[in-house]
Amino acid sequence: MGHLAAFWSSLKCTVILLLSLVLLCVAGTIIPQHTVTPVAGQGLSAWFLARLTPTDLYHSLWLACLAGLLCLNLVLCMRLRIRARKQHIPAPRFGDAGEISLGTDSQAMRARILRTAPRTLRFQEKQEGSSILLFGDSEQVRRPAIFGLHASVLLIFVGMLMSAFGLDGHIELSEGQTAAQFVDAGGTIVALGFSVRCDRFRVTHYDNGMPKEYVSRLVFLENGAARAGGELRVNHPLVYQGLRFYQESYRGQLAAIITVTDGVHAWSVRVREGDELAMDDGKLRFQVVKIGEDVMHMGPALKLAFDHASGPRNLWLFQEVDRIKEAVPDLFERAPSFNPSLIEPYTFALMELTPEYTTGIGVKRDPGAPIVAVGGILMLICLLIVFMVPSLKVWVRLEERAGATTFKAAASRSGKTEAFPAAWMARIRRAGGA
Amino acid sequence: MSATVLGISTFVYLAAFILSLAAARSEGRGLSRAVWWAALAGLVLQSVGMALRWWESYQMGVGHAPLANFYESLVFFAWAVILLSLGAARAKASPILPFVLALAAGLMGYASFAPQVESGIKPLIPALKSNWLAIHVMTCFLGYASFVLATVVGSLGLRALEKGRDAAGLEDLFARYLSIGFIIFTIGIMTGSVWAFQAWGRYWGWDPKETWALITWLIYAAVIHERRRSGGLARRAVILALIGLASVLFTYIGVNYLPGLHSYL
Repeated sequence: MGHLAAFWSSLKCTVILLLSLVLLCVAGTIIPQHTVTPVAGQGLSAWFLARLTPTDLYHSLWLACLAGLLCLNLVLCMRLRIRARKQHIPAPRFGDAGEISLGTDSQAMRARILRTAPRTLRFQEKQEGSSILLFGDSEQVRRPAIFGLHASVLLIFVGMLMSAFGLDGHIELSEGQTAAQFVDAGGTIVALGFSVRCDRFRVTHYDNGMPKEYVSRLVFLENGAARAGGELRVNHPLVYQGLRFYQESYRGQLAAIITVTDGVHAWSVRVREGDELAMDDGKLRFQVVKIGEDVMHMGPALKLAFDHASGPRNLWLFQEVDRIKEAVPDLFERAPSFNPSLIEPYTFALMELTPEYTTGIGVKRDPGAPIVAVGGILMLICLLIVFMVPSLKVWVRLEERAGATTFKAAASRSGKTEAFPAAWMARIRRAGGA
Repeated sequence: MSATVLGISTFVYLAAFILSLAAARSEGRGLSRAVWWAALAGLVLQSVGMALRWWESYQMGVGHAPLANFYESLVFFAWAVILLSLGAARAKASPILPFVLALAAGLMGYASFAPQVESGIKPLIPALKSNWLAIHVMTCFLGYASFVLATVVGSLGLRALEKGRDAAGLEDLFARYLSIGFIIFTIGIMTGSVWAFQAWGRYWGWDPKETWALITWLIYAAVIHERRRSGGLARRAVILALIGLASVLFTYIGVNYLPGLHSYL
């Protein structure tokens, strides 16, 4: 058991786990990845199989296991660091260091050493007969930082786990359109709890034709009243009610303005491909199947599909139907679906086609992001301390002998014995006027 | 104008490299000092060239830091390698200068002469129009440069140790470059995450570039732990650093051949 605990808290284990994670990540970039969602109701074995597939390594049990083992390794290492705080003064490594006489009063000398010491050293003191042993150790500063560094990795893992419970969705809005719901990554429709309207979408280009900026002008509404709004650009998200909105994509399309009359009433409406419309108190229902700028080489036209009592019917609505009819006088007899009055008692007319944009907006909520951010900041602070504060240990023995204080010193850096820092020695001498 | 200045700096690096080969065979320190000063002259010229390119981009009305395409990243990589090596080289590690000068001259030459490297100043696409661009690219490439230097120094130090020579200076530099590289590259990954959160609403997306940056980070984390475990410049730590160097190259160039969101660099 002791061997097992020693292995799991060892640096060897850390290196093995880090390299295992490397291999998994390399495999993830070589094997094409796609999110595998276990089908509900197929039991635990199906879930396990889905989570073991090599085509979804970043959501797999392989990654979860390695991350879990790394966490275990980190926790055990952190436990060792806490225990190490109770360490006694290690045996001095004076070796063949010579003695120097620096004044008469050992207490004054002690104060001088402590005053001029590097700020990263923390001192312990031991009386050894007539001498004083001072032990300075930067590990007292570095150890909490190493502890914090490992804790920051755990914090980032916790944040990443919490991010899995966030929202990741998408809305497509044409100019003037309003939406009260979005489609999440799994294809489920989710209510926003408010509405969002796109008043305008704009694409600008550089002189060479490269896209310069995509901007959606959004308005957030509650109960039909505008509450907030702003310009949504790439790299400049908008936040409303805890949801973050991102400019993701756009596509251009054609919109058409058509008029419908039954001889008494007239309606004018702006339509896009795929729209389903109801008019005249629901008596007239149709779908816009297609909008084209040059249909059958006869100019702008729409294809409308009607669910008529006598069966489904299609109407090709050409903007220049009068000109076409002049060229082909028996057009409506030869092609009844070209007749704007095909669906009685209504007559349709295509007034104009206008280009229009649909903007793709990302909708996100990530409860883990603030925790990951805290973990990242902690990691950075601790990294700076760990790497910028040298691992230094110093031993100084002061002894009053024959009316003079002798000074004997030794140091070690990163576990290797080295000379007492010369700059510090110079400061000690200067402070005493020696 | 900037292209001319950058071109001259390439030749200065090349001349300094040739001089460094001569210095390696010479007994005196005069030539070594001349190499250091020549490298510094190249660095100053290159800095002027980069500043000019920045200024020219504003003259063209598309002003941005020269860190936005493959050409500019190659130039910055060369600059970072020379910058990080010069401070250390003067005092302790002149053996690394021939390697870094060859690398810098090679990177600059490839940027200038390879037909597939587009060197024109281009406006930024909307995704790159962010204040995070400069800090993210700079920290990543300074991290790459540090890792390259750590690997070169580590390999030279190990060779010296195996030949029974003193390698304390190189061992110290190995640790320093690893530390500096790890801190700066961590900042690079973090700034990338913050930028991704601002641009796409997620701080991590397992995009190939992100994943390979993580792979590089993990390998150098393993190098640091292995170095601590084996107590210095051990063979295993240096071999891991060499694997890390391959990962740096793949993160920088190889990953562009995989589909992803970073294909512009």
